Order: sequence, then structure tokens, then C-alpha cells
Amino acid sequence: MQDLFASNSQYRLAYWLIWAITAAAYTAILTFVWNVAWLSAGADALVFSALAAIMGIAVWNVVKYSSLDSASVINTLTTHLVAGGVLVFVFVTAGESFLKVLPNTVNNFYDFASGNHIYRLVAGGFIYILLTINFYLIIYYEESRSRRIRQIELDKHLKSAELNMLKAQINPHFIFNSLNSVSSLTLTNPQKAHEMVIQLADFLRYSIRKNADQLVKLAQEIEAIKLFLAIEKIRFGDRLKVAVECDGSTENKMLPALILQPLVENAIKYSLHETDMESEIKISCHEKGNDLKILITNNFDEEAVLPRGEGIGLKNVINRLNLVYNRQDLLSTEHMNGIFKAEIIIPQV
Amino acid sequence: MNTIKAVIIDDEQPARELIKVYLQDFPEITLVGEAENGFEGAKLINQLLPKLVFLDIQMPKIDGFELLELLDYQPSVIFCTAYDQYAIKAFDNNALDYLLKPFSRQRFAEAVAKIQLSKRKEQQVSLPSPMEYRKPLSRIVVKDRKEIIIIDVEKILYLEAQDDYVELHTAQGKWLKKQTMKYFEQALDETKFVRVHRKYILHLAEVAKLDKLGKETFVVVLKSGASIPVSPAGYQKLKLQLGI
Repeated sequence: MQDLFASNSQYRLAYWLIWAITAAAYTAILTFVWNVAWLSAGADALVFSALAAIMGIAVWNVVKYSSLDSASVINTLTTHLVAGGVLVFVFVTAGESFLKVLPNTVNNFYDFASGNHIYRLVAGGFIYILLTINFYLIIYYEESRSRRIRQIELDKHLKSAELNMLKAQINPHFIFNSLNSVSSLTLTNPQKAHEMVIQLADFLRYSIRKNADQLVKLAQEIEAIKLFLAIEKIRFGDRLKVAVECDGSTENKMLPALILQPLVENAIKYSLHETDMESEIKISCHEKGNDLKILITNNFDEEAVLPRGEGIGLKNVINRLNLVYNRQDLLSTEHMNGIFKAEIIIPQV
Repeated sequence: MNTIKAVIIDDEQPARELIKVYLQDFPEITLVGEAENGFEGAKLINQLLPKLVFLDIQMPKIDGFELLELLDYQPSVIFCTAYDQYAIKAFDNNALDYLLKPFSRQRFAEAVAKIQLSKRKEQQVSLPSPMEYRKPLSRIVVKDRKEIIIIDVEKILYLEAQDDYVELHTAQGKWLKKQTMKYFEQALDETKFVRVHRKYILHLAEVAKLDKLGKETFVVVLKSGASIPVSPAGYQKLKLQLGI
């Protein structure tokens, strides 16, 4: 446990302030309740408060080195009894000796109270116990707070690691197949190869630069999706037909980067890869209340017997939305009459 | 000198173009056809009987491995794919070579050169063994005269051994597949399919009841009404899966 009073100026300030208030309150009580002359009351309060404050620093060190969870109860108790005895004795003796040397006009309360050492000893003991309890509470509070902060940071790291894993969904095969297409086009159609390399670079830049939990404007995401589709079009030719329609009012709505890509990839997979029909993919964006609603539809062959391992892309989208918005119900899908429809709601905060 | 007939099966047009360009270096190889999915590919190969096939793996309709199961003979296959995790499986299928996209002209030449070497070796027909790639099996491709049929394993009632073939029984009919019972026993999901007899594998979801015939002889009656004999060992396995 580091020394809070050395490192934390707020604690230091609060500590001295509390003693200043105590001194003032003590003076007031002596003056108005005990009818002591205010000057003597003030002197008494000042001397004993200052001494108690100094004693407090000693108590803090005792508490710091006999922490409650490491030492045995007997040890801690013994330490406090010895330290308490010594400190309270010094506190009372030093205080009284100090008051004794003050001029008579000021120390007449000392005369009144001097016969009653017990009163000062009990008060000193009481202050010692109060300080001890307070310091233990402060240590306990600080420890639990730092534990909580560590836990929160850990959760945050876990979350971002998880998000990064989910985001790494740009299919590596997409990259290698695209590079193969480029390699082919450099020989057969250099102009097209040139265009494709640039589109591929722009798309990869977008997908690498954006952090997984980063929100982007819809216009940016759509731009990236168009790049992705343009590349797929080069690979699969005229069979791939895509229409994108977004209401102008949705352009500045925010959504997690690359959340649409797996859905579009999925649409291509079902409509293009599992059938030999022409593939028609539609993407449309609307406002729904204040939120953003995106619809992605594609045709597919209802008769097709699909290979295993489907739906990973969709599950990832659901997980990502859950991590960002803490909601499980933002993606819904349905299929009927040979049309597959994915609807995604992006809350705007 | 006779030229070698070759076909390209790949769903990406630029990928097919690249192989065509590379093939210009090999006058002894004649490209006789190309297809953009496994379905057409299988038909094309069985029709043109090429010696060499450039084959992609992930393709529409049926994949490269399923295509191979549908061939009447065993051509030399050079797999061309971006998926490196299929390499072991590909060599399992007597692949001549395995090219990872994108590949260089030189690497392509090395692969094609192997066809000269392989001429001397006798080509062995091997059936695919169950690999992680397909386990558990979710669909089976079969040929019905000229037609290619894809069967969802969930629709299978039971499988029956027929000499060198396995007969797949579904509500729609039955199809023969050149394959072993052992293959299906391993490749199918063992929580759904149980080999109850030397000659039979059952789809558990189709079981209606289990009848005792003799002291150690049982018979399973399916929902479709068919009854399937159960061996003592098969009975033990069945008991385990059904939890009785």
C-alpha cells in the first residue's frame, strides 16, 4: 500500500481541514457550553488539535504497517495497544507542558482541567481509536477502488480483443483470390488490373485502419461496400447485380465499421456461389425513428442443399452488435419465395 | 505426338484466363473446355474425358472434391485454390499438384511437368477418406444416369451395402454411390447415424421402433415402414445412442 498522504494531495488537504474544523468546534464548545474564556479555549483547542493531527500521522504509519489482512489479530491489537499507549501519553504530556508555559490569562482553562488528567487521557484514547478506524476504512476503500478499476480495464481489454477477433472477418481467401485475379488481369487486361489493385488497396486500407469498436458514418461504410462489390464483380462478372439505395438523411448516421461487409459477403455466397442464376443483391438504408435501418436482400435457390459451416458471418455480426450496443436483437433474417432478407437496426446514441 | 486434353473448372473468370495464358507455353496441352461450377464441370469431364483437369475447390453447387466423386474415371488433377487447408485432402485424392493462388508461371510449369512423370506410374483410383474438411458429412452427390443429384444427409432414411456400392435410401427414392460403408460410418455424424449391421447404417431420427425377434436378434422398424436387421454389436451401439 503506497502512502496516500504523500501521494494524494486531496487526502492531505482534507486531513488538515478536518483538524482545523475540529479545533474551531472544540473552541466553540468550550466557550459556549463550558463558559471558558474564548482565548483560553482557543489556545487549548489549537494546542491539542495540532498535537492530535501530528499524532494522526504517527497513527497512519502504525496502521499502514499493521494491515488487517496480513497480520494476526493478536499482533495488530498488541501493536495498537502499545502505540496507542505511548502516543496518547505523549499527546497529553506534551499538550499540558505546552499550555503550562503560556501566560496566565490564556491558560486558566489549563488550571481548571489540569486536575483532570483522566479527561485528557480518555479524549486522547478516543481520538486514537477514531483515527485508526478511519485510516483502516480509507485503506480498504482505496484498495477496493483500485481493484475495481483494474477489473474495468481488464474487461475493456477483453472486449476490444474480442472485437478485433470478430472483425478479422475479411476472408483471407477474398484477398488471395483477388490477387489471383489481378495477376491474371496484368497479362490480359492491364488497365483493369490497375483499377482493381487500387480498389483492393482502398478497401483493405478501410478495413485495416478502422478499429473494431469505432463508429463510422454510413456514407463511408457504403463507400467501402461498393469497393468490395466492385472487386467481386471483376471476379464473377455479369452474374453479380447489385443495387444500393440510401436515403440522403441516413448519410451521417453512425455504425460500427465493416458491420455490413459480412452480410454482403453472405448474400453473395448464397445468391452467386450456390446457384448458377443471376445474382441480385439489394442494399437499402432508411431512418427508423431516430435509428438507422439497413436492409440487405438477395435471391437464392431454395432447392439447393448447402454445405455445412454456414452462418458464422451472421453470428459474428450479432456478437459485434451485442458488444457495441449491448443488444442481441438488432439483426433479424427471414427467407421466403427465394428471397433472403437481413434487416439490421443501428441505434443512434 | 498426341496432345494432352485439358479442362479448367473455376468459378472466377480471371482465374480461368490466367491458366489459359500460362498454357500457351505448352503446345502439347490442348484446352478442350472450361466450366464455372462443379455441376457443369463434372458433366464436361465425363463427356470430353480430358487427361488433365485444373480444378478449383470452393465453387457453386458442388465443390471440387464432390466433382471428383462423380467422375467415371480418374484424370490427373491440378488443384488451383486459395485455400491452403485443403492440401492434405487434395493429395489424398491423388492430386498431381496443388497450386495456391496466386501462383507464378514457373510454379505452374512445375505442376504441369509432373504429368509427364506420372505417365509412367499406374494411376490408382482412390476414394476420398473422411477428413476433417467434411466431417460430419452434410450432403452427398450422386449420379443418376446423366443427372447429378445432391442429397441432404438429413433426408436419408438408411444406407445399405451393395457390393462395391452403397445404396442411399430416401423418401424420394434410392441412389447408388461408389463408396464403402466404412467411409460413411466415419464421415457421417455419429450422433445421428449408427451402423447397426454389416450391411446397414441407420438414420436415428427415422427409427420408429425396435422389435425383438429371437434371443439375440433384433429388427428396427423405420417410420417409412422398412425393417432393418440389427446385429448384436449393432444393438449395443443403438442402445447407447438411443439411451435405452
